[in-house]
Amino acid sequence: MAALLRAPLFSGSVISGCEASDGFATTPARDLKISGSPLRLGGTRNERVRISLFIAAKPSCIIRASKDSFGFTRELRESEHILDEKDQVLDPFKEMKCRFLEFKRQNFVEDRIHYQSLAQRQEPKFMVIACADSRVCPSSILGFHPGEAFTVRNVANLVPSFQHGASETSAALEFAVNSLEVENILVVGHSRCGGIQALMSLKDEADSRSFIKDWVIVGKTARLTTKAAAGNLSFEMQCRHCEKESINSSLLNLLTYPWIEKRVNEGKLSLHGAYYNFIDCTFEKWTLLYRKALEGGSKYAIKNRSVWS
Amino acid sequence: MEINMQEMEPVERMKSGFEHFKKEIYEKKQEVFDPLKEGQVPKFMVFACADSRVCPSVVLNFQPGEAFTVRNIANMVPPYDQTKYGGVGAAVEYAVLHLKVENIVVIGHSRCGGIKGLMSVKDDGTTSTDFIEDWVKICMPAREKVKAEHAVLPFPDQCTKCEKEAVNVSLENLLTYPFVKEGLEKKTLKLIGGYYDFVNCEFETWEI
Repeated sequence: MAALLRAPLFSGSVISGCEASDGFATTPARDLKISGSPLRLGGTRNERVRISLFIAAKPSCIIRASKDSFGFTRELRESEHILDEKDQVLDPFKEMKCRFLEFKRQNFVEDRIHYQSLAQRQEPKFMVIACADSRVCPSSILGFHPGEAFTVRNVANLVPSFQHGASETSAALEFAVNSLEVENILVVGHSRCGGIQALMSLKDEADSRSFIKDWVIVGKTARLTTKAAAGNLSFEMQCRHCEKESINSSLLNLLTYPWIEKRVNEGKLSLHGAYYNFIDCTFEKWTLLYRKALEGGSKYAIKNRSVWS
Repeated sequence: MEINMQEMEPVERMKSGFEHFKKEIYEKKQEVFDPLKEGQVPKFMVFACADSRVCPSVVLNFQPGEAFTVRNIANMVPPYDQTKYGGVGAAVEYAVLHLKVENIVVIGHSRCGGIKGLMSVKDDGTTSTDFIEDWVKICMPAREKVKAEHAVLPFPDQCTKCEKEAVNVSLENLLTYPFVKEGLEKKTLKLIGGYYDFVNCEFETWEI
């Protein structure tokens, strides 16, 4: 994995890559164009401008970069790796450009018909709610391809209740369920979650406010059930317990949304919980069974639990 | 792949994906994954849309551990407000103060349903959704700018303009968070705008 080092990036560039039918340039590349930032660019650009350009090894692309304030251009041909002149280290955005071009070559070019179809509309069968943690991207872990999973990521993969009111997650749920009509909602928790640790660390008495504390309190039900069930265990074990409890708490919160409950009852929508443990690389999943009309007993149950390892 | 992923039963689809990840990636890159068990030290925080077509890990090939990633409708960042939409604030606070990321990237994209929704909000302010319209109105300044400067453009082109302007609004909103402002002043933090056009497969970046 390349180390991404801090380095100033060139301000404003467009990577269009090369037209390629077999992964190599067969027609002249489109020019890079600079989008002049509408924001106060000039004020931050007193330092010497470092322009680092990367060109994919095989295609010969013509990439022109110009910076509006200084108005000079450079033209490069063929394979060339330009190192940062000052530090002799790779510019992180050069790395991103390289990866984007590779993504384009491997996916967009190779499967153009599929991508052209995707450009018209998305019809994902999944909505995924995952943590923002850099280690747990559901596309990576579950191999979701473009078009498969409408994905929300927030701190500790929490789903607030309908009564909680406006939240970014609620808006996304409404879009996924009512507009995209996804068939599955998957809430994925994970090991060593910093957000859950923050939830378990909340003190009962009033404490100084922070955004983190005000958000993770959405999972307070999970914290309560964890304290009740595992209060005698070590803090770390309590956090592990809470990571899973909060998934179930979120699943129950999903059912507080009228349009979600309706579709679940109609059999059009399934709710799943999952837990990714990156310590031993296991993935546990289960499905929530909701029996609205059940007389007596619990309306909620878990079914189809399995662990993949 | 010969198997049509779209036709697989949902759980089978997930299982197949995980098994591939474990066998082909996790087990072959122990040197990457072992340190991640202890903690994450991402250099990037990324805001991307929840749209199924624009996962930044896929498009920019972010490896596990590289990017603390928030995804919401239309990749929006609300202004500093401890009473509303604090979930985003929690993510920014965690990324900047605890993870100490060095770059925050806000990435917009083409054909964004959320931006289309913003551009479609009724002028009289009435709403017909529980949450969506209230959320996308965060970037109302972008819509107003586009409608003022590009009134003659067809609606789809206005939406394209708005997709990029909304990124700028979100970047400006980031500046209202004191810890972000401080990071910029100390030059420990950089704010970057991005735009992924999946119609033409282009990626654009700019810096503030």
